[in-house]
Amino acid sequence: MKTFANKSRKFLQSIFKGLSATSLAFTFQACYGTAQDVGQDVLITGTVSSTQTGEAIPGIKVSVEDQPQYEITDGSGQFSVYALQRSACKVTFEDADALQHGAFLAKDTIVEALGERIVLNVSLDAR
Amino acid sequence: MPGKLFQYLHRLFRANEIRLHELSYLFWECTRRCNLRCLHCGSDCSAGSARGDMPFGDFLRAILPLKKAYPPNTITVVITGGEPLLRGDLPQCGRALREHGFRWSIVTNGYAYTPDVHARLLAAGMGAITLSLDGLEDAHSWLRSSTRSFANALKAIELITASKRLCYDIVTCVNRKNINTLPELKELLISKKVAAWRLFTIAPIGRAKGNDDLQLTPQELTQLMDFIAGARADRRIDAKLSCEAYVGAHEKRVRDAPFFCRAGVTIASVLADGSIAACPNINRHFVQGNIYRDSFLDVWSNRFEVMRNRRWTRTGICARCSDYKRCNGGAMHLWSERQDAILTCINQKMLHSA
Ligand code: SF4
Ligand code: SF4
Repeated sequence: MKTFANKSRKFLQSIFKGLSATSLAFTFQACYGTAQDVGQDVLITGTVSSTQTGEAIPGIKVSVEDQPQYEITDGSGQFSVYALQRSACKVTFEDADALQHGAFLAKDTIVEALGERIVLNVSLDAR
Repeated sequence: MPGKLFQYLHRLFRANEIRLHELSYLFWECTRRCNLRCLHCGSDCSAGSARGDMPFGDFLRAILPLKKAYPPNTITVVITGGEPLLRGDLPQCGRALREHGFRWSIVTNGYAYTPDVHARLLAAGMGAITLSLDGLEDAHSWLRSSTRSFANALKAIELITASKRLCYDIVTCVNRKNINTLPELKELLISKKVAAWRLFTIAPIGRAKGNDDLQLTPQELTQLMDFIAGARADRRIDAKLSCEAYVGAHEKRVRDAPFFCRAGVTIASVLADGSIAACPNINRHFVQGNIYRDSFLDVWSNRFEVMRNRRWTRTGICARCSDYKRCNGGAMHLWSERQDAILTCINQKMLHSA
């Protein structure tokens, strides 16, 4: 029974799910609910460490060009930030906590061929 | 496509979805706390709500078995409340959901939606958001019982519409105080680059019960349908009526797909006390289990019969309704524990005033 239901679903969904003027995400929302998330993004994770000592650096702001989101590295220098999926993007690492964990120079990294997940381990030079 | 064939195919589609009963939309009422005291709140939350937030670990443990039955990325966890932004651990909750493959979104009044919050939620993988704006300043402040809520909501809208990542829409509860200012509100939203706008009327449940200013008259209901139809024809904003009710001859004019209440068909919720329900605004009589006692996956797979088979709704005014086949007994949130008659019917109200 379910197999038949699954087969006919594709055909029926193509009629009733493709009707929204804005996008697929809006074909159904409950009154107090949101659109469904059908967007594409990439998870950029990694660790920031010092070029000189090799030690992890907490308090580094990791941001993605043209996007508002950012993340501050935790006590182990780790970060994870979701960003819009594109063919390439610039990720910037900046010292966000003044001298608290030492002073470091900012660094930009261009990441290409973004899939669903990218690991980016970066080292920063002391200022 | 000819109207009759379209309606027939839609009935097939509905029956098919009911048979498949695949979860795609999961509300999590993460808190009952709220920073506003809106006149129409369906869940009657408050700043000092006696019940605390649900620990995230409890929710996650309950839903993880879903991964055995569904690819998790086909399920959007809609985080609601109360006001979800009152939870300090919201980004951590969202990030953990993404790590397990689920998508997530929030429903917010926008009062606490600052640039910093926006940045942190996006970084944690939030993919969709719905924000309320209930009219121009006076009407919004009245409904939301707060003078600062309008300015804060507008600032939040600017942040949201600038995001290329978010699937978003703005929702407006239409009532007697804002119905005549909808054209100005539309222009305001367009000026803020809003692409999608959902309008709904206020159901006589929760705090809205008995407040006559909140319920549109039959003439105003028709005015609302005409307004939405006009805004859709205008094509500058994707306006639509929410899923809340079957609206007869207006169906094609005010929404993309015909009315279909999916509560318990593709929608479930976990409420703050652990109750397993369909949409959070449904009468608690229809609660199907509790995550602190039952397996969520088991409840979803084997219960919800009362929502999947709605033949029992053929009672009260629905029993005599010539639109029954198309409507299937209306919105689940408009049925009380007595299950003897729907609380109100927009379609019948408009038909009788015509
Ligand atoms: S119960 Fe109400 S909010 Fe939920 S799907 Fe049905 S009509 Fe929409
Ligand atoms: S009377 Fe019942 S079946 Fe008829 S339109 Fe209203 S809610 Fe639907």
